[in-house]
Amino acid sequence: MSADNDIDKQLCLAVKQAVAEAAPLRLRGADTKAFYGRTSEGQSLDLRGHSGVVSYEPSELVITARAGTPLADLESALAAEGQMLGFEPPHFGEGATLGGAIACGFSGPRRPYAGSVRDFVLGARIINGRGELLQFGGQVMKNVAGYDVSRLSVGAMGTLGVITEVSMKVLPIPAREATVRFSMSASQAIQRMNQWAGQPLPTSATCYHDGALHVRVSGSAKGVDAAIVTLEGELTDDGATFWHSVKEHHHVFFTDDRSLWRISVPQATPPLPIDGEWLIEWGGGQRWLKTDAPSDVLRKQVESVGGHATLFRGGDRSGEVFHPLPPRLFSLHRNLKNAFDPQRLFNPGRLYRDL
Amino acid sequence: MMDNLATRATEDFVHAGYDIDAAAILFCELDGTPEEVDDDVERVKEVLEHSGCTNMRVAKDEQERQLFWSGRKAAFPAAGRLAPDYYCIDGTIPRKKIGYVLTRIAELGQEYGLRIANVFHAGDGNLHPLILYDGNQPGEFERTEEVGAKILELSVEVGGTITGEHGVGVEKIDQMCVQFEAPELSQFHALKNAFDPDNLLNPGKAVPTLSRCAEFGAMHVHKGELKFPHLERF
Repeated sequence: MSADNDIDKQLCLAVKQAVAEAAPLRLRGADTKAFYGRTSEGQSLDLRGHSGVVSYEPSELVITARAGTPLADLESALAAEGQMLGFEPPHFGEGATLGGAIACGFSGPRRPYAGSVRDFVLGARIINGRGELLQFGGQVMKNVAGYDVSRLSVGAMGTLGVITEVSMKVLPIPAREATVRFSMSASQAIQRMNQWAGQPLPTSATCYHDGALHVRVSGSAKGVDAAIVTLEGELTDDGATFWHSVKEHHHVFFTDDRSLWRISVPQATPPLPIDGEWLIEWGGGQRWLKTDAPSDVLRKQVESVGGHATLFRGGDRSGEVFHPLPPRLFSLHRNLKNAFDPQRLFNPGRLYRDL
Repeated sequence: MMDNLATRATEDFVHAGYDIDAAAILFCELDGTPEEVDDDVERVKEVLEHSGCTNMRVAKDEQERQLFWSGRKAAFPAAGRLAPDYYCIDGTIPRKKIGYVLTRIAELGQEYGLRIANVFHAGDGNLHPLILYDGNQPGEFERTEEVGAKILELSVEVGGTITGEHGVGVEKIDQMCVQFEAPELSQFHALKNAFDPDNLLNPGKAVPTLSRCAEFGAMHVHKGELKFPHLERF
């Protein structure tokens, strides 16, 4: 279990010093997600010293923890009470922290069926670019007082402020999970996943790769047994290992050196005509692609079906790795950055070149 | 959940067979496949039996399910039968505080000489106290607003928020000064400015100015601490 260390005053001082010196900061935890986003220069501000669960009451289904708390510690504290983070965050390495998962906005296989990381965030404490420690949202299930800054910070790659503490809704661990497997083509798989999405099935994950579709169902014992019968697939016994490998990118698909793209499209979109190797998740909504195709050609294809493409791993990290924004939308992003971090101190350029 | 006052008002209206002697009624709806719902019904029964429930009914079919809900869905119009006017608020609190806050609301109602019915989303801790009043009686509306404000401040005090789903326009704007500190309010203004630099969209709503909070703070000193001490008083 991580130490209970509250260093928010030091963190505020560090930010104020950066303000005084106009010296950019590179916010970091264990650097398990350093591969993600654009390269960004700055003095390292390590958040791992700010750690520990601040409050956790299982009967409230809410946990509040400091940003530097290792995800593994958080998950074991929850598991001890039969609970879990519903968005199933990938760690992508030893020591991954809560702050990193929130700032990157990463969700795992359960995302389309349980909700995304943003959906589970109830509140946050954030240090803005003036070195002020601010609190937004709260620890209650519903809250519409003031603008929703906590959720705005999810996926902002630390560009809007230093997230120091997060309150999240948690879920009970399902009584039973099972994984069934099917052999079929990619287009059949996309069709089937979308048909099932319209039925009252306790689906909690879907993944298609290389002729095989895996479907996980989670819920009560009787509910899962009934779903296995309805789905009519081949029951596998290594489901937990399989989903862990997909979530953490240990699956064989992810183990080569080509650039890895994350393509987000409407779920029912048929397979895209882009050369490369594909792994499809989230009922068709999240598609991983390994390809040597040029980024402009690829992005045009993805845009034509209403999606966007992120250069997830590898490739040129000094170019735009997130899908370029239309000029007006980009100017809103720039205004937002100015509103929180007028001196551009936090992770400059990590999200977009000019942010 | 509906408290006794709300239950009596709705039972008169919809005849759903509610227990009008119960201090409160809790509705619990479960969804999923038939197999899942069967499992969950057993678990909920067990929890309620161990939580002091005095009477439990499980809807036997869709028609009865609709009947159970009919009272909850008609609760607001039914409250209109109890008094010429009512004022609904929306504070949200940690669920474990529901009992304490309902007791405090009843006490506040007595203190202000107003009846308050409660019909709310218990699973979210999202309260909807309905303060019953008569707008034709001089001073009643003002007392209603004041007790409403007290209930919202109580919601913040127990770790909750002044609004769970209805939002802040003009009415609850002073309570924003209780829930947020000056730097947070300034951050909201900066955020609004990012989208609306000329302040054309609903100016003056949703987020109070710091001077408004200073004026409000001069009236309500919270726990003996003066809010925004650095601001000039008017």
